[in-house]
Amino acid sequence: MCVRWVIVLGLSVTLAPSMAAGQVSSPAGLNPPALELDAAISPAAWLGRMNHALTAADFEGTLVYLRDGQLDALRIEQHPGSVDGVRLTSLSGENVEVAGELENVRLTVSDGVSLWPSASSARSSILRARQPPPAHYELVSVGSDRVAGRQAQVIDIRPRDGFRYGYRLWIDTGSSLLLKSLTIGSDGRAVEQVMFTELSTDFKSPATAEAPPEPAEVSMASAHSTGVNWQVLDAPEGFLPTLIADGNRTHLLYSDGVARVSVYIDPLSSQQATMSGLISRGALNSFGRVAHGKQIIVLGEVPAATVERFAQGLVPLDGSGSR
Amino acid sequence: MNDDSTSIEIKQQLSALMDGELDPQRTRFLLRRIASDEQLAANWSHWHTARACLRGESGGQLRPDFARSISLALANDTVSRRAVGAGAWRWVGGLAVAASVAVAVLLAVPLNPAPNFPALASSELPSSVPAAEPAALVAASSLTERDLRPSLDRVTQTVARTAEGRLTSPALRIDPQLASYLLRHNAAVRGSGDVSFLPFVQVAAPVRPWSMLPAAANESSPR
Repeated sequence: MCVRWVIVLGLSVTLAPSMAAGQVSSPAGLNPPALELDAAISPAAWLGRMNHALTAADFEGTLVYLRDGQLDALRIEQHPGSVDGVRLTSLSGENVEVAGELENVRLTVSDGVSLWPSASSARSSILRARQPPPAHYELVSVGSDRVAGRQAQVIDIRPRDGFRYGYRLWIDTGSSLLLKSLTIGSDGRAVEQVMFTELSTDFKSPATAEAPPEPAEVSMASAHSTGVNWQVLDAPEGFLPTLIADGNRTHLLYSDGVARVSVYIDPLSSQQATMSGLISRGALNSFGRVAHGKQIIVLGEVPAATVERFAQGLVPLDGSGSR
Repeated sequence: MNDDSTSIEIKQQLSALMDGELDPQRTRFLLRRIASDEQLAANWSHWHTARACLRGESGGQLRPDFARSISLALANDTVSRRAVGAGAWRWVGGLAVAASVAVAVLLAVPLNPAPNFPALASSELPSSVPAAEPAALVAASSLTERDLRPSLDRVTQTVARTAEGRLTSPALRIDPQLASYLLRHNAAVRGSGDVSFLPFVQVAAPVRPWSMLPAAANESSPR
């Protein structure tokens, strides 16, 4: 037997479970048994459960991440209430670790240097707005499947226009954790995929997930009263501001109920090169430009057209300059 | 011979078949066995997938009827070999079998229109999902993403990378500036209490230089 197939044989033992999960049309025996759709639970309810589990569940697992022709494995641990609420470690390529919770999250790379998201401490005001309903999507239960040895309910999130991606989500029927996600571009192709190959959790999703307290509904007008004097003209329909943080650096978070777009307006720094133009990484797109004496960065898991429109549509309220 | 040794022998034959080194008689025997042994069929598929991954090919899964395709190729080959007779032609016949198997395997492996991103085809659908058009996840529209891009002034600079800084060692591919924005974005999304997918995956995944990616051979710069 060729030496290379000894290697392949060894690899197949490692890769087989993950491959089997993502490869549905493989020969007989690999296809999971068809399960009856749980018609009693709506797709929106599944998403609600998933959202609850993704913040409340204690779990550990290994996942693979495919984008831009690059396949990587990551270890993820989430222990709510601990110092490092969530920790992700790359298992392939460069050693990268992200750990922490909310604004105390840090990124550590091979040489031990850590990077923290700066600016949050300088906030002078924060407004949180209610999440808009995902009116620009169609939610559909499409069946059931098996991922990482677990039964999953498969939900499609289908966009109604090209300013957002479509998603196919595999949600664990037991814990409601997301087992696999497929992000689809407007051409129908997969932009990126994330899939657990192994997941360990004792979390049981409650039948009715407790809804988080809803923030008050705010408008940009109320945001402007706090000193945020920027607005996005011609933002893609359906995207509304859900978080506004202002300080020496302004952060506006827009949501359409599924996708989020962050708009940063930062002072120019002589210490850093300016960012201009489009950068793509998997489903993530970011668009930078320098305007009105500020570094403007827009990023989110949305198509390039969307971040570009946000970036070019951002203007100061006082109308002190053209776009 | 116990079950373990039998299993090892079968897998050796399977490997030889993938290498095109299995003789026709054993090939037919093995294909019959694959057709009735789900585990063996799964191994065959996994090995092909693993080989496709090693070669940088994505979406190289076999169609379920691959064994039948190969059997048909073998059957056709049998007819032709009987026609030409035995003797020295056996060598030629053996080569034909190998070629037929290779062609059958190629036909059984769906051609991937995009090496990096397999199209959302029926192969991605769970078994109980009703068949749908590949683009069903996106509302029908004649518009493409490019059509929706606003017509705006050209940006004044090309995509900039942070030129200086302690994080930009030659071994490090992470742009600290972009990573910082990504961290802030993910933290804000996670703190928003809204529906979110797995957090920080894009931040924690290593970034390889474009030249290391399979598509780089035909591209001069990243998209």
